[in-house]
Amino acid sequence: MSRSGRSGGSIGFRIAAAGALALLLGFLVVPMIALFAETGPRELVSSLGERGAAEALWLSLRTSLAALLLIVAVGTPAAWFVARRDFRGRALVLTLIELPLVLPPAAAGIALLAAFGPNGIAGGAIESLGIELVLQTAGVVVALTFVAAPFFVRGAIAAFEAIDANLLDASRTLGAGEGRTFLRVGIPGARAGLASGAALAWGRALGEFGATLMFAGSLEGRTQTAPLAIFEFLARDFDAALALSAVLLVVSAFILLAVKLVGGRPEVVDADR
Amino acid sequence: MLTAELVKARGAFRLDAGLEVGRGERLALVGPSGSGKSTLLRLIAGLLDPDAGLISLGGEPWFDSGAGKNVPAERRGIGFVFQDYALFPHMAAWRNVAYGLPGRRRSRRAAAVAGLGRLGLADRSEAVPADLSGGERQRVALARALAAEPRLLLLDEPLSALDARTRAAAARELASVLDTAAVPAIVVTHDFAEAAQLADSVAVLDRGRIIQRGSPAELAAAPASGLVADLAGATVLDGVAAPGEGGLTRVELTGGGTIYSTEEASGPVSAGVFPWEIAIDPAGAPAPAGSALNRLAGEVTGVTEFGNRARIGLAVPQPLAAEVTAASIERLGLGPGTPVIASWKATATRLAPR
Repeated sequence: MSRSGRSGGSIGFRIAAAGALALLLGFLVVPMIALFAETGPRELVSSLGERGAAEALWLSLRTSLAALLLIVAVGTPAAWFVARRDFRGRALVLTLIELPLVLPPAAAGIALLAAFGPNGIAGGAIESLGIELVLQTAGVVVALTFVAAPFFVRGAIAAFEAIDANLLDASRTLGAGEGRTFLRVGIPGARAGLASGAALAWGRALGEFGATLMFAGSLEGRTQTAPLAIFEFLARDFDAALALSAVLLVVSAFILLAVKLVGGRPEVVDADR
Repeated sequence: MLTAELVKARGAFRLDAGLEVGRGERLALVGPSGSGKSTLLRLIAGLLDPDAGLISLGGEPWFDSGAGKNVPAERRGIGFVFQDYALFPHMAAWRNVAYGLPGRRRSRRAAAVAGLGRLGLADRSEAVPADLSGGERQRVALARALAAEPRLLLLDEPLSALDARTRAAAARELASVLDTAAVPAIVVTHDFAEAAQLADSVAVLDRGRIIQRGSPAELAAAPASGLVADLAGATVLDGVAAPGEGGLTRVELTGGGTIYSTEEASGPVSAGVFPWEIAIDPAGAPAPAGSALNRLAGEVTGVTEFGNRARIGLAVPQPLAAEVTAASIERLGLGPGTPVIASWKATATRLAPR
């Protein structure tokens, strides 16, 4: 007996609340339907043949996956450190990790320029390593990593915090140091949270626009990702913009579905309790 | 031999305890919840750091606050059985047991399955914890803790996650596994009967301090406080049971004496009786016309008063504890050496196979 079994309350309010839900759903869903109503499947495929569209999509996939790889490789042990330790300044660290979530992407792009651009505070050091970021594909990866990392790291911290501390203690009493405990008990125990965090970060990276434009520019074939290409097509070829948007919507829907499937499955860790 | 002298403060709670566990000895830590039993166990394991103190095993220091020495838990070579067993949920039973084993996969697997086999779980080695019963999980946890031949076994309420029906059998089995393993062990429990069954000696912890340590019979006969008296419920007499007259079970006690029980058993048994079920009469008193069937002549070994009651330690000749009012001590003139008769009903005699 839960939601539906509740009795009493005023009918009037229930109708108003249901109306609000209908309004919200309509507002959210209509533009997505419109995306497909405007482009038939055939136009969609042919528009992708448009010069630049397929290229932009391919660049988006490559750069977002490269950013995801970086985020997961560095973010997973970092999240473990934050989750399993109580240290001075922990609250500050958590705030810093979450800051890019609320930072306007355009501001993030300017901040990246100020830090890693040719005249940025770390620009010289990066240049001396022989790495070029601005107006380069590598710069896209940097922008995507900056914006998407918090989505993964936040989820990873929560997932590691949720692991039964006794499991980690058990691992230690069985002779495993922290590294082995992290690999053999920590990661398997947090895998659902890690996977959904990775999917969210990937989704965010795929849609990134502002920071990429500011930091890496919109050079066709080099830094023009799918969202940037959509913006450029808007002026000269609305159908191509529509088609590319539809493809991004499908890809994003798949990612969301994957998150639901992974996150909806009861975690094996909990099943034992 | 394990030696520990530890201080650990947590808010208003302060643990300040010292203990020694000899080679092959088994110690039970008993006490009410919140007395610091599990904390003490975790400090010894290295899962918590003491504020100050010393821990050493066989002369090798594990922790020494003075010398700044602290061997991490993973290098202490202990086996730990957690209260909820803490089995790795994503691993099959054999992988749980093999987790702490060195060597190649094949030999680790063979050793793990053999370890499970010793606990009667050879055919469950592929099952994951979620598919095991409570009793099976407890045995997997035990097999895992014993697999790497630990130098010290620590068990935190190893039976409390089991239901009452499987618990008695699991306790007997655990005792025999511990006998076979012959490794020094500390068992935390809040159940004195369980402590008596699993350990040679019992230390009672109250509000962070060990208030008494001794054999179960010593604690029952001469409790240091009302708390110990309440914890140390039944005392236990060893004997051999056989069907007796009137449908009762007749128990010939080791060292002499015969008692009766309404419970059925045969072979070697432990006969438990609560001190407050036992009546004390002066030696030579005529057999009363009452319903107490069990009468054993013996001698008072000690009297411990707390409040308005007193524990009488008896030798009948096995040690037995009786509880009487403080007034009876004076009326009967009880003191060490006084010959008395202890009597109780057959219905108050609980039998457990040994």
